[in-house]
Amino acid sequence: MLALYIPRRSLVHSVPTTLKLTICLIGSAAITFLGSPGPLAIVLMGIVALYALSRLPLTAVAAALRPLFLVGGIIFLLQLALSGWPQATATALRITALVLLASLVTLTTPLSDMIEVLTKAVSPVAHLGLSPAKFGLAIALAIRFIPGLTNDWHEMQHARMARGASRASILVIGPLILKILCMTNALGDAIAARGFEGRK
Amino acid sequence: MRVQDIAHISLFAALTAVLGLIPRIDVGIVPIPITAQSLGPMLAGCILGARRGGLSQTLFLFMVAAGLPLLAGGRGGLGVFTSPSAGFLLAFPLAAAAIGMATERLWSGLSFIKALIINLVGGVVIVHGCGIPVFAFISAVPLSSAALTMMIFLPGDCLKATLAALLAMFVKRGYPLIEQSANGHLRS
Repeated sequence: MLALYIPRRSLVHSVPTTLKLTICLIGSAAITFLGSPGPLAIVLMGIVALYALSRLPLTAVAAALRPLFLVGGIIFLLQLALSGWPQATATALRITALVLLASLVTLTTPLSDMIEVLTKAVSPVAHLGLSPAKFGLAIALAIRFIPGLTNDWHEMQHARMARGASRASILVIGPLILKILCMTNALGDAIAARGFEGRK
Repeated sequence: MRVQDIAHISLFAALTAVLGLIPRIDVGIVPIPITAQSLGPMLAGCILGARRGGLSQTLFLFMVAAGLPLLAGGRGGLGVFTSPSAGFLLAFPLAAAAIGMATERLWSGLSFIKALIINLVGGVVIVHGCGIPVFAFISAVPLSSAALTMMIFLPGDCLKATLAALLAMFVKRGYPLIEQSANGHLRS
């Protein structure tokens, strides 16, 4: 299961994660309230410069903009029809800048660091019954089971088709859920066997 | 929190991720990009209940934020939380919790119709209710245009709610997790 992080030795990569996140947060807030295309274009160029500084390949920039392709196009056209060129350009630049800035943090921060910092950030919610150890376990389990469940999904689809179905169907989710529910018993025992039962 | 609960939460977070990783399934002849991912919170809510369901979706969002490409189309990272569709994502834990609460309340007399209404309100109304205003804000379009644009997803989401209701009844009969404990209080 590969994370989006791209390892490089660069200035941006070596900034501590908490600092990166804080700058991203403050920067995003500032960008949201910038109005006109001019300053936004300058900010956007600055962010692209940061990408160059972090020695990330050009494909990384393209991949970071993936959330936007379809939606961004529609929004741009909508804006063009409703408010004209300046607004449309400003919005397009703003959204691009926001997404690129946030994605830069993701691309330059290892998965484990992000998990560590984000866990500390949400630790006030620990009173809901989730200690850091259990939280770390929950994340590790979820990550560990994603490839396995994906495999099961494809297997079940093949089994369907071997029995005469013409194509894949969403209905495979039924057996998959049953499989998950049966898994939880064994999984619960495995966790308890490693000493998590009764721990705070 | 029992260890069983940790297992449930992790596995349903993984399920929501799997629903984003599978290839898009075409529903009939309509070429609308329907992803199965919004089934995740619906299923988590009506099978696990409010607390575990909500926590599983929160865990899922956490993993996406940490940088895993778990959203449909291989998207992930912090960038998706600043994109126009961020509101829809952030609604996942809320939807799961709401669906879970309603399912627990109506557990003893749960019928397919009730489950369907629960999933429609919790899964479609709440998700679109959160997603559309955030979309309108980030893209600086008026609320009405945003709502109109998002209408294209309604048929697919209603189908998903139907599927979730069917599965909820299926699981209730075969492997219910939301039980009535000895002293009569619903527990999940």
